[in-house]
Amino acid sequence: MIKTDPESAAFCQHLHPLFHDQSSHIRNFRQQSLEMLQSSPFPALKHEEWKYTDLSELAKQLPVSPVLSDFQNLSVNDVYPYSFNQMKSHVMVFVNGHFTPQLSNINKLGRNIVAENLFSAAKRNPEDIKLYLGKADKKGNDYFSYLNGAFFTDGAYIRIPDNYQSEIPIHLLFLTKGNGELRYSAARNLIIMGKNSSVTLVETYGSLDDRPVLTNSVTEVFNGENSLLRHHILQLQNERSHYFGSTNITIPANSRYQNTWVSLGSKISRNDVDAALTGAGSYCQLYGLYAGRHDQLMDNRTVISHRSPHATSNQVYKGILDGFSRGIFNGKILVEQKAQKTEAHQLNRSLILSDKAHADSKPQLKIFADDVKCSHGATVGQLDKNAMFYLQSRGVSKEIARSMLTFAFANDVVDSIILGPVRFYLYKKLFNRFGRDWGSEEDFESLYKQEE
Amino acid sequence: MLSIRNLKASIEGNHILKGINLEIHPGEVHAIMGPNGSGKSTLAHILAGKEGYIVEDGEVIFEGKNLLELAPEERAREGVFLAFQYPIEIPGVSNTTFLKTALNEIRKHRGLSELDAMDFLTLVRKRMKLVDMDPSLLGRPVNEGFSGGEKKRNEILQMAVLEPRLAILDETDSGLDIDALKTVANGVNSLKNKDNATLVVTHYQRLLDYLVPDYVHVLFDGRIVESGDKTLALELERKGYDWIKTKAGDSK
Amino acid sequence: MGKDREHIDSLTQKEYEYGFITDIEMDMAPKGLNEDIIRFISAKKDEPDSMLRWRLKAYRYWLNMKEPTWAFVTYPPIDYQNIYYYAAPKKKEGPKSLDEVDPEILATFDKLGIPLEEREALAGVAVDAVMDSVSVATTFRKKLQELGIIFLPISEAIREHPDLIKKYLGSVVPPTDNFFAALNSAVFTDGTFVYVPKGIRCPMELSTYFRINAANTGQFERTLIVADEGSYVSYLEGCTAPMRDENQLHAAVVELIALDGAEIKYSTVQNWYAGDKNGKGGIYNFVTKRGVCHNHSKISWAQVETGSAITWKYPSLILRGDNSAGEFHSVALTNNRQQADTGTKMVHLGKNTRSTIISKGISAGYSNNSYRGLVKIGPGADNAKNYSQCDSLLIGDRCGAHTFPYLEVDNPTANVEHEATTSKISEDQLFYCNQRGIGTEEAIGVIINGYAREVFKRLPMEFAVEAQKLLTVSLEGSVG
Repeated sequence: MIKTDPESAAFCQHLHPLFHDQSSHIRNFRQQSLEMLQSSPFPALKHEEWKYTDLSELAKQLPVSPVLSDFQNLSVNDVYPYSFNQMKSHVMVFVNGHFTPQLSNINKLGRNIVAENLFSAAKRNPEDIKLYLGKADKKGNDYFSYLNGAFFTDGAYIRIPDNYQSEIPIHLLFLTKGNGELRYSAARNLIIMGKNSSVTLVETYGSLDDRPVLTNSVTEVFNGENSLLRHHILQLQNERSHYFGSTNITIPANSRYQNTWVSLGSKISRNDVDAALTGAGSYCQLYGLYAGRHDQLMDNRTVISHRSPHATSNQVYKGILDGFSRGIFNGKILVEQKAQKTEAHQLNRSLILSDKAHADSKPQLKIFADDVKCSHGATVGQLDKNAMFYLQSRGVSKEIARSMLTFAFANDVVDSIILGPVRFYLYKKLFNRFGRDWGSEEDFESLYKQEE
Repeated sequence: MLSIRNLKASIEGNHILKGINLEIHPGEVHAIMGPNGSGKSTLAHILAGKEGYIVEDGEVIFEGKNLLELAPEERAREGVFLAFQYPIEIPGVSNTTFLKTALNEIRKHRGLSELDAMDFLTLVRKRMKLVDMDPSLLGRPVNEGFSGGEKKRNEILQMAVLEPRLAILDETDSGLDIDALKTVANGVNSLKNKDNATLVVTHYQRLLDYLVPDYVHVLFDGRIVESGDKTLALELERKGYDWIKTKAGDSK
Repeated sequence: MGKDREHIDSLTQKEYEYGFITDIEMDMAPKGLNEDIIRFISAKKDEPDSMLRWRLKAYRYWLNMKEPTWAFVTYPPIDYQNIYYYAAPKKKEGPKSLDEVDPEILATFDKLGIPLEEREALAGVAVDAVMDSVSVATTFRKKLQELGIIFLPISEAIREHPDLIKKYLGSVVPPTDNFFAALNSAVFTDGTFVYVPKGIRCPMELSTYFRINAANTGQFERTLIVADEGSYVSYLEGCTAPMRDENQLHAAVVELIALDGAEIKYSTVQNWYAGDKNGKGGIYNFVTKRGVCHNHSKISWAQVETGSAITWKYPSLILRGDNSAGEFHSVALTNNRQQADTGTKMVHLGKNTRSTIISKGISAGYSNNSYRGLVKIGPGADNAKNYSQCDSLLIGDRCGAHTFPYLEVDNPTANVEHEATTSKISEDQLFYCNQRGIGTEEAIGVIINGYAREVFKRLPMEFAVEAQKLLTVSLEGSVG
């Protein structure tokens, strides 16, 4: 278990400066989080929300130390692999949870948009921090959220003004750089959307080397009325790292929130989404893809709370599990008594590719209103035998047929990402993962571009 | 080209084929007719290599090779093409990707260079005209959301692109209106040449008006009980299958 | 008997100095639970020594167990020392025929619409009636005997067929399985035992009607059904209970064993007293039901649950043998303040195993109705298939309908599908019925019965009719 007493152990030594932050709101928030953390048990299999995710090996490596700085000499070339072929975007880069201005590019953002690191924002907009930090909805706050709350080292603060619409995405890029021992990296992000605004936000988690880091992020999103946020999260860390990420969203009247969360990296990853539909006409869409290989474990937990009448939610999570990997979907739709005319759908599909892979699915409905349309479905299976035969009968070898169908399985989730370069990046990643025998990459590229 | 000798096969313990003999030469069109459950589709599936059937006796020689020993994709590369009675839907795989992959696999096998995307698309667009297929279907997932007619046309398009030596059409006419039937038949006719052969499996004589067979075989209870030219099909149409049943019963 | 008695006495005296005096003639054991009570029950039942030891082991295990809290139900803490664990009917001698049965008991059966003699003649149903923990009538025994079928109160079976009991009792639900199963194992007073020999098809539906009579009496039935290789048996279980103010605990255990090629059908209509409109009284129904399927065998559960204040019940199957199949068909209706947390577990271990789950929940009033199910595909269960469909219907906006399925798959050749929907009866449907002259309550009855038809189809005919009536009666007053 991580020692969290601020007076003792490794944490204190490294985090002392954090607790002396000049913003009293942040200091208070840390203190509250720390208190909650101290009364929260470290997740274990006996906890229902951690039923399939064994952290006992990780626990042995704790406590871990955050890194305060050692990224001064990084250049833009170092982060090129995560630029999605230099996609036009406003980029904020964080290394080990610290804002890295020399790698970022946010100068061309519109005048009224605020995009800065959280610590600067705390100085300039203390009222916002007081109003929003830790206030987005979260059902059953857990260990890692409190851990982040107590020890985050910075994060992004984005405030989109009313009526702002932009085609150019904002890219938050969180990179880790290890030193051999397991390190801790925690960013805390606040996204505040004005009325009638519309933006696309990409949140990428990647590694700059193959050293292990424990990443523990929390992003809080406050949609404005009648706003639209497309939120794409890509978890691409190296397979020695761990990832515990939460996204907490409040979705008021007539606003739309569309999340696509793709997990390809990390040894153990845990994604938590807590979305609250608080106003009539609100819409929440959660798409997820987790593609595991080797001994990766990918745990996806979602909670959508319908608190208002006339709200709609739609979830599609897909898992592809190869090698010894384990994929978990634990999704809950909660419909409160006053949330009449709710429409909520949830689908989880898992594809098991190897004898030693596991899939666990827990799609849950908890419904207290009667005038609702709710459904959920889950399937676990292998590739369709008829489709395999059809492909083979056209001359396609078994191996290629398998990778084509695997790739096809993931298509609809990837297609929910509206940014072509990101989509293409993911297609290539998946192609390399599952399409080893399927023609050449150039061939794939030319074909893909034809279809675009 | 294809030589089936005393083929006996079963599925889940039921004997379906009880000794089939059939010779097909290049340039020929053969039709196999028969009542439901006579074993027509089983024969087509076994030739293509579908799992689940047990061949108990006999052999199938295709171009000098023992067909039954080959994997389904190897048969396809050798030039055996099955137009499915119920074409399979493959969500997520686009028609283009599907067909291009198949074509290049077959070309590789034949010692030809692989086509790049541009050449491939040129070829496909040309072939699509043959079956009067809506070009927008190319970008869509294989057969998903296609109407019955579109699926059958898609089968013939694949045939046109892959250029098999032996095409087996399994009930390709079922569920088609007369216009679609003509289109499909015309497509098949225009692909016919002296080096390839066609085996039409059908319950109805209708398709044979447009796709004229050189030989007609009647399959009943797992055996070919009658063979003849196209007039046999007309006779069947007139007298119905009971006639064959009686005849087969007599000969036992 | 005398010898056993001596033995038990010596045991009690040796280990416990201040137990109550074992009085085998007593009709009722005092309230509360301790080892002496268990000895008393075992002595009352004239059980072999090994059985007593089995019970005591379960009891000692139970003492260290915690009552489960994970179910979506709430109730005040149960005082296990404030329950009578043994009550016998007034008659001292068991009746040898129906003539000897207490006319009052027969009258009660009449009220329930299940006159024994009619059943005997018309329906061909053999009835083993359990009245307050002790069997008082068993019919058709002779006819069944001719086929070698054993259909006995379990207390008799323990005496007469100790080998079968030793082999199978607790083999599917071990005494240590869960809190309520352990409690049951320690104190069960009666129940049913069925054994169908190899290759025999039981020619009639076997049936037991349970009924709780005496105030504050816990019911701890134990049912064990063994279908030997290639045999078939269909078993019906039905429950009704009279009005009561105090909550009553009911913790039954049912074990089914289908050996190679056998088939067991187990149908339940459960209509225990559900408490009044305000949630006062009603039965706590904490049941453990589980079956094991060997090669090529099949077990089907079919249940219609309308009663009980609280239901905690997951009829489950372990598909151990290759090519075995399991089914679960359930209608669970809750109204007023009722709470139900019910579902099934299908554990696939053998190759080519198949299971189907059809669950239809109906919630009305202030009730909460949860489906909780597990489908587990073990690593060796090649080509296993499961299909689950769990639908919920809500009537009124003060009730809750919840679905908690768990899918755990450790084999790549498995095919597991779960679907669930939640809906309400549409106003359009009701209006349409009204417009055709059908009253709203009746219309709901019609719609509900249509909704649950898939499950009713699985019940034996006479049961299905009864179940349909039950649904309609249970919903009375739920529509404003």
